[in-house]
Amino acid sequence: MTKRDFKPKITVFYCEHSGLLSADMAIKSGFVYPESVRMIKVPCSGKIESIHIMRALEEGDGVVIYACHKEACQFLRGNLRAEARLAYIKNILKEISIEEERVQMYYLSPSNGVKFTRTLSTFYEDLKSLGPNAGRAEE
Amino acid sequence: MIVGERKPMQEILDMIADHKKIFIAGCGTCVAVCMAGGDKEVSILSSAIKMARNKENKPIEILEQTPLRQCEWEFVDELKDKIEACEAVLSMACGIGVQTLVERFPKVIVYPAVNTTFLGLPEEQGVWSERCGACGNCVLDKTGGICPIVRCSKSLLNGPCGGSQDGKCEVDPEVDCAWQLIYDRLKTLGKLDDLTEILPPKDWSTGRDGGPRKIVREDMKL
Repeated sequence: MTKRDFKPKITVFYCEHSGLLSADMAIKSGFVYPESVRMIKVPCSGKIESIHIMRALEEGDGVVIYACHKEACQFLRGNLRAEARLAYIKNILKEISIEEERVQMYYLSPSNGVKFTRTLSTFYEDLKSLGPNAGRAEE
Repeated sequence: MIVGERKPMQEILDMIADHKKIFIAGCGTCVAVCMAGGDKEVSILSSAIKMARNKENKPIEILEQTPLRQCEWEFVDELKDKIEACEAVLSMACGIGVQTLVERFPKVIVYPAVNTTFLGLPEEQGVWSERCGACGNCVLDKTGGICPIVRCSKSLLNGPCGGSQDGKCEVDPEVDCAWQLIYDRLKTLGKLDDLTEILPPKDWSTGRDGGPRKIVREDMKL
């Protein structure tokens, strides 16, 4: 498979207080997700456990978390917890020599369709350049 | 409780390098509370190992289970089927759990995935610190309930040493001087006179210096 043919399998965890509304706005503005992107809505980014990120990576090529801006979390510290868990996961990935860039987190206001489109598109292209996740289980 | 932390991934991967099917056994007691070897940590380690092995084109099959305790026969017996179905066991319990498995399943290879670190408490979520050295001869009654054996960097029984400054230890300025804590506590209790008692050299035969320890209670035997 050439890099041109490679379609990164991405899991997107998005907070319903920011990512959901931004995603809606992006879609209304004409953004179309690549078909290999799986969207998972969560009530707060703090609900995303480390194992969710690991399992998503085990089956795919990248993981994105969309969280509310710092100090704007509806549950006060959920986004900070998600950030700390992401750092923990990045350390594990470093230990097993899997590219840390495969997991990213972005902070959004509830109506930033432009940033949603830009970050997800960029992440998709970055993963295309990076190639398939060598740690991914064969289907 | 017993506090531990996961070994570096490379060390774990090296241990299981020759195996194609392993069983990761967690423990639902101390190491679950210190988030080193409970259910969640077992799943994360399993996932990390699978990815690391896929990367090397040496896929591995992993079974997982976390008994309530890995340090008692009746709890490890429930792992029998999974242990026998695998080439080796990776234990995420403390060193006691590892040895319980070794003694119960003598023909099975058991590797430790956790470094057993100390006896302590969670000061707050995500922070654990040492409180007891299991010396077998407790002196907390004489020191205001603060252990000089593990909380004083030099284990002084009649402190503080000359390195105590502003309530902090000279070994690590982040560490409270245990003898400052003892002084403050006895002052609060109005028992500063207790400090005039000189504690004699400690009998370490009840600690590690006396060799492996054992307690036998005839009245409790079945």
